[in-house]
Amino acid sequence: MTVHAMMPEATHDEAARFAHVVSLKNFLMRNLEPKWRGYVDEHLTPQFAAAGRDAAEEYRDLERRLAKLGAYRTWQALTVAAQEEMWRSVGQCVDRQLGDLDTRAKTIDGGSVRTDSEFVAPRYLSKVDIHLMPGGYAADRGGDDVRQGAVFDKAAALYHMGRNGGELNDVRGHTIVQHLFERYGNLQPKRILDIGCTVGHSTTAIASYFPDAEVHGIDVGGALLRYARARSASLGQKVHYSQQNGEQTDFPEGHFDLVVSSAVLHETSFSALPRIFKEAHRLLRPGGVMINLEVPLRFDTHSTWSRIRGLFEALHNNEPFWIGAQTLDVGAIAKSAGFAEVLAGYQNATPKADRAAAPTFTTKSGPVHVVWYMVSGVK
Amino acid sequence: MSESKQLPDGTEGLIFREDAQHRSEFFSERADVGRLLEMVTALTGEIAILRARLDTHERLAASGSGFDHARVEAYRAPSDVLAYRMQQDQEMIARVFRAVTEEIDRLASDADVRKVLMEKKA
Repeated sequence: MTVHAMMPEATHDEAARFAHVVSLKNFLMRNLEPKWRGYVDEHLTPQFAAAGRDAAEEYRDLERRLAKLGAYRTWQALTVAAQEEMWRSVGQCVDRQLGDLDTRAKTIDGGSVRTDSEFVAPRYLSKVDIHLMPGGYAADRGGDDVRQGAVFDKAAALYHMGRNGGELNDVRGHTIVQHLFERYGNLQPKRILDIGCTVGHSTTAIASYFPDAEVHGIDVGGALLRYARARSASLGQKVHYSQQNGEQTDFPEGHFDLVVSSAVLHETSFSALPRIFKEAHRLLRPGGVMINLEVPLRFDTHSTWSRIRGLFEALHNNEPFWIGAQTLDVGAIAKSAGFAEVLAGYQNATPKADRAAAPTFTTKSGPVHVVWYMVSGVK
Repeated sequence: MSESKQLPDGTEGLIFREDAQHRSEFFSERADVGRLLEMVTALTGEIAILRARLDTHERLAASGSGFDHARVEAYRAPSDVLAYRMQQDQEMIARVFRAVTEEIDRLASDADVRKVLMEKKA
């Protein structure tokens, strides 16, 4: 029994392999990484300070020197190996049933999908396979292919280790709606756009709160979007997906009441992010709302280890804008794009939005998956 | 080459490895070490699957339902069984990679390593 009709089914041994990937990631995150954090932040950083130096400022040089240590390289290699094993094991599971998945997607009615064989993904998404996912977001075999979507969906729960709403991976969507309810409670969106929707994890959750709304999702991969349409439909939501670049879409001006993004901004670039905000502003009708959810990490508050860990994420988990995004004043960019009443802060993650719930939006940060960074504004 | 060659893109804020199109190699000067580590890591996965399969057999036997290939394949571990297996798995992983854990613990008392790590950039 899977959480929705498009989710690939795992055999007994595939499920055991997935569980092992999570165990390995747990060991690395909860056993090994805290030791490096302790060594760097509690042992080395004070030694730097005693010598009149700031280890956090020297994090790049320190990372290069750490990489001379066999134990450090072993941690790096194991962390990459766990990630690669996740994609490999999920890929094998999906490939075993790919024909069935391609066929099943066609039999599930609801929503629409519009792909573009001439589409070229922007460089920040195409230069490397983000998260080490073979083929990245854009891989597409054409025709009825849904492979990349199936792989991404099945792997997402392993990637988040269940902390984003289990196999539905929809907590971020519910959290966006909670932010909307709390801060823009009078908005009754009739048209909604999710930029960088992947397989519609958040899109589908958001659509569930507004049954009369026309909901759209855009991303760069055809296979991702074909899967997304069928996935949303299997969960009872009719979503319209199209293959487009969030910097410049083909939707008319003032077409939407609500434009959102969910953990997308850190996968763009210094020049792309402001363009996406300007495009969101163009797409909104006067009074419309933009809400962006992001990882709750700010570079200037990072310890030495957190900076080194961020560098690892950029270089070895193929997240090239990981650090860049954390240095930006995203609220200021939203204002520059024309938004008013801009909010930048942190929203508690929630598995279900509730208009009557006590407000949780605050300027106080917290751990990833416990809170999310939100930047929103009104046109 | 043990260092991560970084190519920050000043205008776009993007950081790539110099060899970004290829997988990260952390033991390129000792490729055999990297390969051995990969094989050991892969073997832990095979052990985990074998243990899960054995656990399934034991649970089916204890339930009195008997077991054959089809019953084992059809068995889906409930959450408490999954939690038990993951606990066992993490303990196995910790035992396999104990040498790495101990090596990191040892660093705090190694003055020579600290000296190298704190060298000022020439």
